[in-house]
Amino acid sequence: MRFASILLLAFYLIHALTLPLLLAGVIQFSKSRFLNRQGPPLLQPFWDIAKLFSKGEIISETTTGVFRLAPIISIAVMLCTALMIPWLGVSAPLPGDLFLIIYLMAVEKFVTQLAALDAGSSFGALGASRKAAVSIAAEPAVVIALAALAAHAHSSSVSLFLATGPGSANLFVLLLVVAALWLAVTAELARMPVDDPTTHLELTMIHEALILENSGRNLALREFAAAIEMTVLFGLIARVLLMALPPFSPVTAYLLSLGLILAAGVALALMESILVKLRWRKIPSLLSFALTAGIIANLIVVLKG
Amino acid sequence: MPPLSHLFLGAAALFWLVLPLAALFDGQHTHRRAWSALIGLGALTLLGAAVTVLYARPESLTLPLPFFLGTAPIAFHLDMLAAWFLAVIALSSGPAAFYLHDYMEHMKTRTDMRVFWTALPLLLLSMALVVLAANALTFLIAWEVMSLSSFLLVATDHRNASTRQAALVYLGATRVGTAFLAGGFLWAHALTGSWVFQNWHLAGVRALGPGLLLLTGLGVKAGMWPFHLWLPAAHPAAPSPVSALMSGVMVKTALYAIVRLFLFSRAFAHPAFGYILLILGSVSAVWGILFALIQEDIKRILAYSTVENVGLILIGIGGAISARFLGVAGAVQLGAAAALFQILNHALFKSLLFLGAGSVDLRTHTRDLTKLGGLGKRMPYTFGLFILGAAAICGLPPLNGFAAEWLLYQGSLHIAAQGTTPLLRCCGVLMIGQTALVGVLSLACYTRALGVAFQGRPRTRAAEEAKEASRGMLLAQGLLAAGCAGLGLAVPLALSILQRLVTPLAPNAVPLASVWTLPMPMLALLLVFTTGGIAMWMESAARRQPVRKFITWECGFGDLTPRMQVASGSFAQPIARMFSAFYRYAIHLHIDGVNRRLFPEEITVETKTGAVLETRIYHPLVRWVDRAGDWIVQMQAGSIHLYLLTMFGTLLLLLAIGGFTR
Repeated sequence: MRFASILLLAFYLIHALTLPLLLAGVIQFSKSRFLNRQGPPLLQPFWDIAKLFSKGEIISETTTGVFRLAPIISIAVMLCTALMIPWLGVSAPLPGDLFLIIYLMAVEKFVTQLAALDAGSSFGALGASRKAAVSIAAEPAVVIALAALAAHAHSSSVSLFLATGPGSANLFVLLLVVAALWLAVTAELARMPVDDPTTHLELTMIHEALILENSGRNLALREFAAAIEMTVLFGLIARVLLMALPPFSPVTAYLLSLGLILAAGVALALMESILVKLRWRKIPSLLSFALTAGIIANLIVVLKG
Repeated sequence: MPPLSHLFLGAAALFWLVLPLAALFDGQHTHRRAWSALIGLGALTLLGAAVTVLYARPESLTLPLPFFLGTAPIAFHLDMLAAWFLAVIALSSGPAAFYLHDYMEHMKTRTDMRVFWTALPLLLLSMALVVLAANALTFLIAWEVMSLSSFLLVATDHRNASTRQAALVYLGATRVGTAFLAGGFLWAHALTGSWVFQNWHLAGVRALGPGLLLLTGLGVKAGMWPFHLWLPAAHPAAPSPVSALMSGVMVKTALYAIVRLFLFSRAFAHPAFGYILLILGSVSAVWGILFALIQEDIKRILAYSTVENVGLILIGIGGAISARFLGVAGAVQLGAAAALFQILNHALFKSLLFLGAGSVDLRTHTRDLTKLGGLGKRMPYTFGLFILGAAAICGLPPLNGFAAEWLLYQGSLHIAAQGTTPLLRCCGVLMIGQTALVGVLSLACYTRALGVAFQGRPRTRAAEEAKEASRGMLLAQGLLAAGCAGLGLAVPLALSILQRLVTPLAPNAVPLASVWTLPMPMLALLLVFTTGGIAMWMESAARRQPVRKFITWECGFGDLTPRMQVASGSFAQPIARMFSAFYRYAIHLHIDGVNRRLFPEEITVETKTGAVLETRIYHPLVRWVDRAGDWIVQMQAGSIHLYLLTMFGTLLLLLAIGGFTR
């Protein structure tokens, strides 16, 4: 029993450390193909991150200790979250609670924004301010959407409400939750149509502006944490989607989750290839769709039960 | 042999009563250190009393005959609920004692310190008495002493015109509050024939009248929307340790009375109270944090954030009251526990934040965010402690704020999943979404405060020359921070005490200990070890390749000036625009120059926010009262005939009333 749980922990850790980079590679690769370009090899992000880890850091002399500590806290928090959500299709090694996970992710947001403000650069501050504004619209949508499942299962334990079998949850509810999560999560992750990760004009960006001052190992940790966040959240969406189907054996569930996470990457690449970035002022109305979908899902659950 | 708790309480009263006398006679105020020690000792003995009561049976105490209030004795009742609040008072005022000595040093040339050192212990003592009072008259007298002593403390720096203004606003608020409170007590006495809280059992429509009056009076003190206006006026004006006590503890005494009368003793039992508290609590929470987000004064930010936290606590209380009437036992227990837990938590982290803001104020002589910046390098410990306090108040795990917010979420989820009516379940869902919104707004608010005040480069000379706060001041904040972290890890201990408190409310509910299954200590260990491990690895790598320091990236255009950093207003701008309807937010952009479009010579941007409540409701009201005052003043023109006429008229009126009611 003890051995099995250690094995599960190792299984999740290995995936948390490799899959995010693979997902980043898949996104880059498919985006290039959508644009009729050759694109970098699939495993390029591994080399990129290895290169960054081997480089030294340059930091601004204005910074305090927060600047170098923040990426470390981010990645520690992200790894903890990755161990609490059953994003690989099999049960997670640590017991996870919906609200604990949301607030752990808020810790990551908090330290990231503080680090961005630390150098006194107006770019970093713009990024932090925008990140805060996007979160204000997106995070309640995430909470509300997942609360529909929690209210259905009468529990906020993630493994419990994801495990309530199929059929008991209405298919329509699941689709609404997935739609809400997808909209809100892509906004939180600073992807299109809220933020374009490929341009390098810091003035208009969220993610790039936040990490403008980071370099070398510091930057590597920061990017790694962001990649883990994306993978884990995609895995969570995949799990919600899989609830619509009858239960699988663990191996099938694992393979399906893996496939869906990578497919989400391809879908994101497709979205980023065909969509244009929204004007900043339109973002709240975009995210209000996510919130509305979440509220409708809740109403169905609550009024039915 | 009196019970141990009485001895402790007597000692606390002694410590805090000796102090005003000593302060009055020692005109040179040479013994400030000793006086701070007395405050601390009082807090310590009060904590002792709280602990003895928490682990023993309730005690009653009635003072012997010469102490009598006309129709009721001076009587106290010490039960677990009172003990919980005594602990809140003690845990917040104890650490502040370390802070007082160094902080008050700079005030001594500006004001008469004897008033301060007389009013402060009176405030502490009266807060304890409010919590202990067994009947309405004792309560009202303690309440008045509390209001007036805190007014004196707010007015400490009274040579400053804005302080005088703030103190007047506060005094006005306390008068209105006390008037409603007295009205409510009188009405309740008329209906029940008793002053003793325990004998009040009003239900149905009869409870509505006195209950609403009391809720209004208590709401003014608690800072509940729409009566919250005195908080952002009074807190910045008062000396920081006093703001810490007022915001951390004094507003809680009003919450105590609400919890006691409307939830625990069921003196006023009507479901409407639950709904009113839920709605006003929700509005307070969102309104408070939205306005905190756009303030420029650190202490005003904290004051508005108190409104938010009071709102969250009221949601817990209101949810518990409504759930009790609708028979959702689990939610009663969770709501009450969340509210009581948050009351303790907020006392700790709000005191911590106010003391931190006080250190900033003391070292830079300004609280204005636009004049600060870069303090993190100059006051590293204050910075670190402020971060911890901010993280705790935003509910970030594994600190204490998270546990209370989690209980609130659980209560809401319980209502959403198991509410007895569809409408109630929808309310549960709304409460979840609203708490999430408030959480993320407060994260933005405190990120802004930290980022602009402590990070980046100093915007003024005063900020540049700031020095670290003294050791005593840091010790006070350190103790409170340790409380925040410790309570976050010792949630099961706090819950075991809360369980004994809330069990009478919902005897059949699932125990809290089995609801709280989160392994916080393990999570904290995991986080600390992962962070520590990676940090050590980063450090060893940094030894091989030293970290190079360079300027902040300026696009190659030459050095950045501090003015080019983000301002507090611009950080909040995207959010302010999102909620512009609440703020009446407007940006006025003015561009000047010969060829304005291509070569602007002067650009001015002005943002304007207005508070609807002040301009539309309170200002006209105050103006009206003012005008009425002008009119009444004519009667006091020194004419003896007019005075005689007034007396005669009053006599006739009283006789008439007496005759009709007989």
